[in-house]
Amino acid sequence: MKFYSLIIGLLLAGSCLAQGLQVGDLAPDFELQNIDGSMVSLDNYEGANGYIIIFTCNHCPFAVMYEDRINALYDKYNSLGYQIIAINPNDPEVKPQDSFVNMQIRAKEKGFQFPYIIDDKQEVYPQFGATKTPHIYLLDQYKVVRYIGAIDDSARDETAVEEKYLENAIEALRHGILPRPSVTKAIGCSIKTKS
Amino acid sequence: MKQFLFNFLFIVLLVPGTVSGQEQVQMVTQFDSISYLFEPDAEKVQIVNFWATWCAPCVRELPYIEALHDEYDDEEIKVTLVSLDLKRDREKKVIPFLTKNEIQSDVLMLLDSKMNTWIDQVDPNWSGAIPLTCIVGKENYECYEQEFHSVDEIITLINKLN
Repeated sequence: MKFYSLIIGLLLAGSCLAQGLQVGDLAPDFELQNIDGSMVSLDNYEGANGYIIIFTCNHCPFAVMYEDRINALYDKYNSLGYQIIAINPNDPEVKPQDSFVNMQIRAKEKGFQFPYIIDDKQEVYPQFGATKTPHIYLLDQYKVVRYIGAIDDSARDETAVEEKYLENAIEALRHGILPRPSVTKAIGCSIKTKS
Repeated sequence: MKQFLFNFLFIVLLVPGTVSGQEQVQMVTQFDSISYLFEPDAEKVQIVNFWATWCAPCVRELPYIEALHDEYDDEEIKVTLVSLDLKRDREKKVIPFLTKNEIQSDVLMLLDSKMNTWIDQVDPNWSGAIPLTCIVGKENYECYEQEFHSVDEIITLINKLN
């Protein structure tokens, strides 16, 4: 009997992990190394109006397509108290292009002014439930998830963007309303792990 | 006459070589125009594989998907590879990749950028990460967001569905 309840427990734990965060959930804090060597946590930004968590990387073309748009989001929203934190969830042994050193190089090339941190133990992305890069989680000031998904509705062609999902979601939060849609989807690269 | 012969040789020798590669890769701007790929067919199984030349796991599993095309008649198992590469990479990357790897399956490039709409049309459980392989059976279809490591893995799933 004990054995069965253990299995059921494991199954439940497994399914919860697999699902990750839903809109309305409190996001877990983390402590990961930034490309400048410092450690970054949500707690570092106490008083922020919101947090834009972007699971992204160097190698994925769909992530690269959004680099300039992420910089534009920084320019627009950092001064309004919305903290961008980019997290590379990939195992650099699987994708050498996503190594810590290459993150430093890419951030410098693109002039990232926000933290670009590495999920080196690959323990943070499963807690969020991120499955691909790029994959966005917008948190409000209380670190509650308010939006999950894509930056906008047209990755491959910026000129064809009709809906800026993330920006609309941030604007909704700024006006004290819940983002609609709160979940969107986009094509991306699967997160690279050894298994 | 010489001119005729020249033209004839030109057509016979050169045109098929250049045209076949191009014809192999149709560009599709609206997902709706390929939604028929997901319609169950009592006569055959259809495999729809979403991939891209830049996606390492997709490229790794492609030989197993292509093997289905090699080993089975189109009337039995029909394979369609849906590339999510960029339009501008068609000549530069996609066609050379297909030629180099001798891919004979049908290849489409899906350029519909309204992903948030069509990802759910394919499968509401799909996160959007590739590779994704859909197996369309006689009555319904199932999609698998994973990398395959053998043909047998896919065959097992085909048998499960039918």
